[in-house]
Amino acid sequence: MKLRLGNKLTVLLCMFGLLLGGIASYYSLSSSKQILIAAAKRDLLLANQVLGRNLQISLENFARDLKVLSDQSQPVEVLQDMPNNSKEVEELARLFTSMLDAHPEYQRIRLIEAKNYGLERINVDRQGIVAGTALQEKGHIPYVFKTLKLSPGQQFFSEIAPSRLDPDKALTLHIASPIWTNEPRAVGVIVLSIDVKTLFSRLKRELPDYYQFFLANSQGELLLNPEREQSQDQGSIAMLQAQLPEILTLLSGKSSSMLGILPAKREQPSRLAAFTTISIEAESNHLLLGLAVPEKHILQASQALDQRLIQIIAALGLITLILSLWLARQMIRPLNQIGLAIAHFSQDLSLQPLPTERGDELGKLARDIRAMQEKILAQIIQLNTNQQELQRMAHIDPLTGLPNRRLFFDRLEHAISNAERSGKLLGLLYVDLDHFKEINDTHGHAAGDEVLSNVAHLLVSVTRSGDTVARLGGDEFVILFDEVESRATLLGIAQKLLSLLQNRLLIDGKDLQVRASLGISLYPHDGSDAQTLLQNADRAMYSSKRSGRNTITSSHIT
Amino acid sequence: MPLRSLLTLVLLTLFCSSLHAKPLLRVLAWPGYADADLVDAFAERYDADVEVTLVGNDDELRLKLSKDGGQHYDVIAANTSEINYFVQQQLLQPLRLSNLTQRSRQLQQFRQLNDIPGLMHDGQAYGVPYAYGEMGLIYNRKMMSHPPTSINSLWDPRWQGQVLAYDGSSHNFSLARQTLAKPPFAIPSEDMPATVDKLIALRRNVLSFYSLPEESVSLFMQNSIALMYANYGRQQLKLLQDAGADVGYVIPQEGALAWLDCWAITRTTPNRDLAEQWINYTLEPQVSGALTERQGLENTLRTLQASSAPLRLIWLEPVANAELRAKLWKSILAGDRPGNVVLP
Repeated sequence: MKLRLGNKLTVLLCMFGLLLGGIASYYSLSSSKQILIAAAKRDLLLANQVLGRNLQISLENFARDLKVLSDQSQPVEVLQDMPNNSKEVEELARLFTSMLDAHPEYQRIRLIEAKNYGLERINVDRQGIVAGTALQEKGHIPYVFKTLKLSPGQQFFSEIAPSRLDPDKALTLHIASPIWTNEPRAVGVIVLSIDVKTLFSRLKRELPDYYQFFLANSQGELLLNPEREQSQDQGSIAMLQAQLPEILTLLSGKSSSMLGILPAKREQPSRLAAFTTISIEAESNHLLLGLAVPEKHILQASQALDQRLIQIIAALGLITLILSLWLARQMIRPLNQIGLAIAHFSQDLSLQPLPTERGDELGKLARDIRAMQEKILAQIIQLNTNQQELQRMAHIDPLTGLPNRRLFFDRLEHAISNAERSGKLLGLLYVDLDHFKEINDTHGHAAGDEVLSNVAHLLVSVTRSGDTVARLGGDEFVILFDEVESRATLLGIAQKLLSLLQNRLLIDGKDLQVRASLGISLYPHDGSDAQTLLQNADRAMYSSKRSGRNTITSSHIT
Repeated sequence: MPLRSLLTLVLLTLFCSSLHAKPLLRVLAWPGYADADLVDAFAERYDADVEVTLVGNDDELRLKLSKDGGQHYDVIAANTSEINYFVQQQLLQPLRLSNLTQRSRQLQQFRQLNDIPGLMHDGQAYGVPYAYGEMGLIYNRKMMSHPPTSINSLWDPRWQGQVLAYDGSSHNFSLARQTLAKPPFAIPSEDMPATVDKLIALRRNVLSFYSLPEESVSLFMQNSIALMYANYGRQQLKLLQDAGADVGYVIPQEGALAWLDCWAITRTTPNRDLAEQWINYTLEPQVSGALTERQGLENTLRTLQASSAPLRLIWLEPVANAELRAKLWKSILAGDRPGNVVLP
C-alpha cells in the first residue's frame, strides 16, 4: 500500500527529529560515560593510595610496638638466664598480654632464644600464656634464623604466605626484632605475629562493599583473593601476574602504583583495578595492595543517566511526532480542501470554499484556482446563451417571429403521436397570400415584409394558445390546431379568418388589399402522417387557387 | 522487519554463548608440570579454561584431592604410591587407555602398566607415567671439598644450620629409616620413637625446610648452605645451576628414593574427555620435552641419559601409616621437643 503524502511527511519529519535527538543524546551519553570512568579511576586510585597509606602506618605502628618491647630490659634478663628471673618472665608475659588486648590484629607475641634450637621462652597468644612444657623449638623458621643475623635496631618482616596444608589457617605476618647484649651475637628474638585477615578486615570496613580487595606478596601470590572467597575454592595458589601482566612493573619495583583492567572470567565481571606497593622494609620484601571495582558498577551511575536520556529522547520523539502531525495536517488540509473543491467543480460546477485567505503558496494556488473556476463559469454561461440563440434561430422565422418549417414539422409529429393515443382530431389550415408577388413588385420588399408581419399577427389572433402558427416560406403559412371537434369547426375558423382578410391593410401610408387562398386537412381523415397531412392541406389550398382565389377548400378524400 | 530480526539474532547469540560456556579443566600438579605457556596452548587448542593448582608435597596433594571427595579437580599428577592410595580412597576412575593415543610415543617400560606397582587395580589402569626422578643430595662445591657419600651427612653437626631438608612427611620418615638402615616404607610401631627422634635431630641440624623447588633455591642463595636433600632431584639441580650456584649432585650410598609421577583422572570429573586430552597433550614431544629442557626432570619418551653407571634407586612404595607420618611430621615441623611429640 502506498503511504499517503501526510503519513509520508509525518514519518519523514519524525525520523529526522529522532535522528537528530538520538545523535545528540548518544554523544552526550558517551562523553559523560568517559567522564564517569575517568572519575571512577581517580577515585579508585585515590582510595587505593589512602588504603596503602593506612596499611603503611599500621605496619609502622606494629614495628614501633615491637621496638618498644625489644628495648625493655626484661627480655635480655630472661634470655641471659639471670637467677630469680621469674619476676621478669611474669612482667614480660603481662606486657605481651596487655599488648594483645590492645590490638585485635595481634595474634601472638613470643620471646625466643637463640640457643636450644630456637626454643620459645615466652609465648602469649589470644588464648593466654602457653605453658612452659608446650614451648617449641623454632630455630628452623625464617623469623628466627634470619632475625638472629640482623644488627641491633633492624627488624625482620616475614613473607606472608598462605599455609599449604591448612588453607583456612590465619594469614600471618611475623615481625621480629633481635635481642642483643654485649655478646657478639644476638641472644634471641621477639616475634610479633599479626593476623593479616583481621588487619585487613579493619581496613576494608572503611571501604564500600562493592570494592574487591586484593593482597599479594612480593611474588605476586594472592594472599587475599576475593575471587576465591566467592567460588569457595580451597586456596590453590593464584598469581596476580597471570591475570594482569602489567603488574610485573610493580613487582619489579619500577613503579609504585598502577591502574589496570582485570579481565572477566568465570563468575567475575571485568573490573577496573588499582594496585599499590607497600614497602615493608628496605629490602625487596613488599606487599601489593589492590582494589577493584566491577566496571558494571561504575557504569551503574551512568545507567541513571541513560534512563534520563531515554526519557528525554522519548519526550523529544513524542514532541517531534506531534509537531510532525500538526505540520503535516497544516500542509495536507488545504491540499485536501483544494482537491475536494476541484472534484466538486468538475462534477457539477459548484464552487466549494477554498483556502484563499492563506498568505502562503497554498493560498496563492487556491486564489488562482478560484480565478480559473470563475473564468470557466463565465465562458460556460456565454456558450449557453449563444447556443440558445442558435437554437432559436434554427426554428424561428426571423421576419415574423413564427416557427419555421423545421419546428412546425417537429410539433406536427409530436401532435400526431399525442392524437394517436388520445383519439382526438387535429386540423391543418394552409394559408397562401394571393398576388403577393405583385405587392412586392409594386410597393417594394419593405412593404412586402410589412404585409407578411401583419398577416402573421392576424393568423396568431385567430388561434388558441395550444395552436401553432408557422411560416413555411415566402407567402405560405400554416396553422396547426391542437384538438378540433369536427371538420365543420375547422371550416368555421377558416371562414372567420377569410372574412378578416377582407379588410384592407394600412401599410406605409398606403391602403392595401391582401387576400389569401386557404386549404384544410384533418387528422386522421386526410392523412395519418405529417407529410401526407400537409400535402393534402397544400393540395386543398391549390384547389382554392384554381377556384379563383380568396376561398377555402377542404381536402376531402372521402 | 530486518532490524527486529537482527536484534533477536544478537540477543539469541549472547544468550547461547552464555549457555555454552567454555569447559573448565582443573589440573592438580607439581611445579614444572603445567607451565603457563603450555597450558595456554592447550586451552586455545581445545577452547577450554584451565585452572592449575600446584602442590609442594604429597601431604598437600592428599589434603587438596581428598577435600569434598575430590570434586575440585579433574586431572592430577601423583607418584605411583600416592596413585595407589587415591585408588583405595576411591578418588580416581579407571582410564580408557584406548583414548590415550599419545601413549604410543612412550618407552616400552612406561607402557607396561602391569609392571609398575600401584597403577593397576582389578585389571584396570589408573595412572599414566609422565615424569620421574630420584631424590639425591645437592652439595655446595665451595663449602664441601668432597662430595657427601651418605644421607647421614644431613645430620652431620659440622654443617649444623647449613643444611636444607624437605618438608614432606612420608619421604622424611622413609629417609630417617634409611639412615637407621631399616626398610623405609614400613615402620613397626616399636621403631617409631627412634624415627621421630631422628627427625627431630634432623630439624635441629637444618637451617630450614622447603616445599617448592623455587623456595629451596632462594634459601640456598640467601644463606650459606652446604648440603641439601633434593626432593625434586635434578629439577632442583638445574634451577640452582641456572641461578649461578656451584653445586654438585650425588646419589647416596644408601640409595635414593625414586618417584614416578603419573597422570590420573578423578572419579567425579565432569570433563573426562577433556582430562584425557590433557594427558594426551602432555605426552606430546614438545610438552614432555619441556619437562627435561626446562626442569631437568626425566620424561617417559626418551631413555635416561644422565648417567651410565647403574644407580641405586629405591622406587617409592605405598606406606602403611601415612596419616600417622603426616600427623607426627606436623608436630615435628612445628618445633615440638622430643618429649612433646605424641606417639599413639
